[in-house]
Amino acid sequence: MHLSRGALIAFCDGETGPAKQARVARHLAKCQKCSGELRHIRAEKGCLSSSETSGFPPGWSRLLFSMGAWRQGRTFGLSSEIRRRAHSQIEFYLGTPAVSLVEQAGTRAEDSLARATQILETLLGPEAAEAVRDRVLSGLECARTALESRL
Amino acid sequence: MMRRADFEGIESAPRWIVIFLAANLAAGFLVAYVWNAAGNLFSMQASSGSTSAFSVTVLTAVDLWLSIEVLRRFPRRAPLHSAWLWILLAAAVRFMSETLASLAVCGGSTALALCVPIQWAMLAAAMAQVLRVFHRLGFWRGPRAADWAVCAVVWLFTLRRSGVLVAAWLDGQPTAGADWISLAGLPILCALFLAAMLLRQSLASMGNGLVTRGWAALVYAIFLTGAAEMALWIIPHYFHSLPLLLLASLARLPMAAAFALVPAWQVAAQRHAIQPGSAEPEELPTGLPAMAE
Repeated sequence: MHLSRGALIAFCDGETGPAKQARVARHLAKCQKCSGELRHIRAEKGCLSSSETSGFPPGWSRLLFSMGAWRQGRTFGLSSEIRRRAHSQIEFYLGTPAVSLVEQAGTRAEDSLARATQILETLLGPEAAEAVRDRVLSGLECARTALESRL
Repeated sequence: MMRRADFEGIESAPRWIVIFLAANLAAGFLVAYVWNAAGNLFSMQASSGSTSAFSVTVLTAVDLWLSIEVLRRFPRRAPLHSAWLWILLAAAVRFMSETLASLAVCGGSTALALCVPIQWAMLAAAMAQVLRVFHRLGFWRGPRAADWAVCAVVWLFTLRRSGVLVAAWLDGQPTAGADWISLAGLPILCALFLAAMLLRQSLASMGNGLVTRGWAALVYAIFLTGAAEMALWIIPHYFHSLPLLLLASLARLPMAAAFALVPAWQVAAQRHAIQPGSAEPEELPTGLPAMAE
């Protein structure tokens, strides 16, 4: 029996009680799969917290992280939705060929969106980039809510 | 079909500038046609020249206003702040020179001769900053053979003009101060041309978005500046019958429009991003909810 991703995230964030924390720690000491998953979560969180310090508004990393966690449990392609929205912004403001310059092989969807936002911030100014970013995030939230209500 | 909303607000400035340019060019060419058909019976140098000069002044004023609008959106620490500041200063110098020339406060040619190299230097500083930012963002592309060829033409023109002026001076012929000032600006024009060609390559690799169109307008503006500079020097030497003042004003009109389009496209992009009601660029019906269905 392995731990769920939610339980691992809660353990990682220290959101569980001391008894449960000790139980999870005991399980992690024995289970290689769960400890590997925990390492992966910590790496993901580290990456997102470093991107959070580069000017993203509060809540940004939490939203993307929850999306990333949610995405791994499902196969409906929220990742492609994030990517699609990041690409459409770049296409509109820069042009279609610029998408291939922004998108690098092996990049995660969240990183694509972060890079698109960084480019727009440089070329349009912070105020405009922030407005674009908020619109993309609210669109993603709506999409996720709509999907969850239909599943 | 064009929506009514497309012509409302400051974000529709690019359309208005293009319409203004088209109307002025059409009027200018009509005057030239009538003048030609009438067998050069009347002098149109003063009438049509002053009308075009007024239109150019209007365009430079619009350019200045839009540049201020753009700069307001870039805080001091933003990477493109200094580039837009140089573009704004160049627009201010252009507006000042055009105003002085049309009002004839001082000698029109002297005012223009003094202001032209200054604004070229400002534009070169802006271009250097823009190219640095593009390089950092990964949009940098090296020049191609055609770009070097275009730059070589400008360099040859510079050498030829320098040679003619220096030869005239050595022969003891009178040379105007404006000629020397103009000559001093030509190396800056060469550098500006090279930067424009580099920017053109970067833009070609990016596409045709709202932001890209603004920078493409700057490339065209610099190209038109160089072309006009060469044409207005060559025409009096080889085509004596052409009305030079009309041609000069007609050449300055597309140049001023291209310069005004630079901040106009940028303002359009910024306004589109900031407007709370504006939709995402692409709302595909086959989005995530549709996939869930």
